[in-house]
Amino acid sequence: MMTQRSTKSYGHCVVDAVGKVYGATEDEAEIVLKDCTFDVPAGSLTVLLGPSGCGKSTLVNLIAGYDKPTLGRITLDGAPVSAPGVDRIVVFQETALFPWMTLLDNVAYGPIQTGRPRREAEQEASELLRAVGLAGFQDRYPSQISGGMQRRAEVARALITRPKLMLMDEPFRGLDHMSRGLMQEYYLKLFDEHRTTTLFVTSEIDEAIFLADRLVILSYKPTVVQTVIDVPLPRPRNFQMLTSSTYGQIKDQALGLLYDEALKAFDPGKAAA
Amino acid sequence: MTPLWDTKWFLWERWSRRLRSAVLWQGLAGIITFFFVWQVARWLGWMVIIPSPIELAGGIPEEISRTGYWQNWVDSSRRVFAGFAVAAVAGIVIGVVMGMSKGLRATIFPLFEVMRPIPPLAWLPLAILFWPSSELTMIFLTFIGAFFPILLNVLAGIDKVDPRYRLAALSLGSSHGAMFRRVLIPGALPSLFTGLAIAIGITWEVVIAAEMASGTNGLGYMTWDSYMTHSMIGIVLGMLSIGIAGMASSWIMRVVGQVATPWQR
Repeated sequence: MMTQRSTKSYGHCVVDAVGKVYGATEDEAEIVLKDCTFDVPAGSLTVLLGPSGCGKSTLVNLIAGYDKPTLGRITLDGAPVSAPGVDRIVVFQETALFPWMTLLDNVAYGPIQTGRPRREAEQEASELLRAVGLAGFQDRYPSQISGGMQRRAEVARALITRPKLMLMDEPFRGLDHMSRGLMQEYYLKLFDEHRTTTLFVTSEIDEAIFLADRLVILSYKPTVVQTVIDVPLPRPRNFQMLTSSTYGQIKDQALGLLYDEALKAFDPGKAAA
Repeated sequence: MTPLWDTKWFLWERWSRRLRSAVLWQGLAGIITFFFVWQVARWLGWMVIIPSPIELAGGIPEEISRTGYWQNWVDSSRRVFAGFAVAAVAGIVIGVVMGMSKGLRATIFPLFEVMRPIPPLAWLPLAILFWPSSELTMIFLTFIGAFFPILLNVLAGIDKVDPRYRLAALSLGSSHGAMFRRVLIPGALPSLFTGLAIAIGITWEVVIAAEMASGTNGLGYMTWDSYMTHSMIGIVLGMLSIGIAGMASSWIMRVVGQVATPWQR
């Protein structure tokens, strides 16, 4: 089983002075990202936290290579990122499992595309589905399972490709409160086993602190990195830690920063005035 | 594996549930009410031109047993499916090509936008002059009727494939071929079947009109011929036959669609 807890030495991602402007002309230009600098240390779970509507998903798209930054550069283990590649994988909001494939086909798709023999890929997919608690569901279609199961299947589809960097774009959004809590615990257990370098995006402060080694707090648009906070809570973590004093301090600090930004996001007109 | 008796039980359960479902009986009640109101209207002395359901029930068996009645079904169905099949192949191929290539789409689309609003029957005079036989003329008209809805739904289906699926497929290392075969095509299938279901309905409309105008057999011709020979029962039987043929075709399309897209529902 997957019990090694080695910290991986790859997946170090550097976002260096990245800006993103949408719109062709000066009049309609919208500055989404303005000078974002942070890094995701190899083997870490770094959380990108910011009010909804700030450029979090834009940042994910840039790092994934789906879009190009207007300014600045992004590197993964020193190599510049310019296009989508199998070294980075995105777990999308809601679900992006292919609805027309069974869970097994979904998870085995990546390795088959990169040239692994079908039998071998399906075998590993099957094992991985069992590891995320979906044994017996591998022949179901995504629409036939619950939201929480879909998220786990999608994490399995990402893990099987052994990416250097996993980009999780608010993956648990839309789940009910209870499932979300369970998913967080479950996901942390998986992370402790795999230690795949991860950038996890969320707008939920509790989720952010519970998961993170390091918190990158963003402002509202035009987005800059406000602060980077290290979260020294030990791993493995559990929900009791949410009442510890370290947790309280970090939350206080983060909340203070987020509050003003959330206010701007809540009423952008007022913020501009 | 599921034991056989289990499957049998399941099938029985499904059928008996269908029989017990209110929807089935409500549908039947609607049809019966329709014929009942019709009959009552005749009893009241209205709509004397049209035969009553009871007269129809008496006259239809004789009409059906006439030689040529079932041959009319065969003739019309053959035209429908020939035109439909050609339209499906052409619509899918051209739709996919236009969906994949922005340049080709920009080239072809305006032309189609001009041709699309021309009703299939407006092609009739030209088709009669162009095609060597009336059979080909009628098949051509059904083709015209079916082609555009199929093409447009294929295009819409490809456009509507959630961009996240394309992005996910890119990150998973998809080749061009796999992106096409395993992502775009299955993503567009539900919309394609919507198009096919619409198209098969239109082909029946078109083939009936074409047969009335230039046919010598088929359900449309039969209906028109009944008018010419003052056979009221023949007219109504023709209309009922066309309705049933159209309904059956749509039903077949739906079943094929469900089998081809097992992930839906």
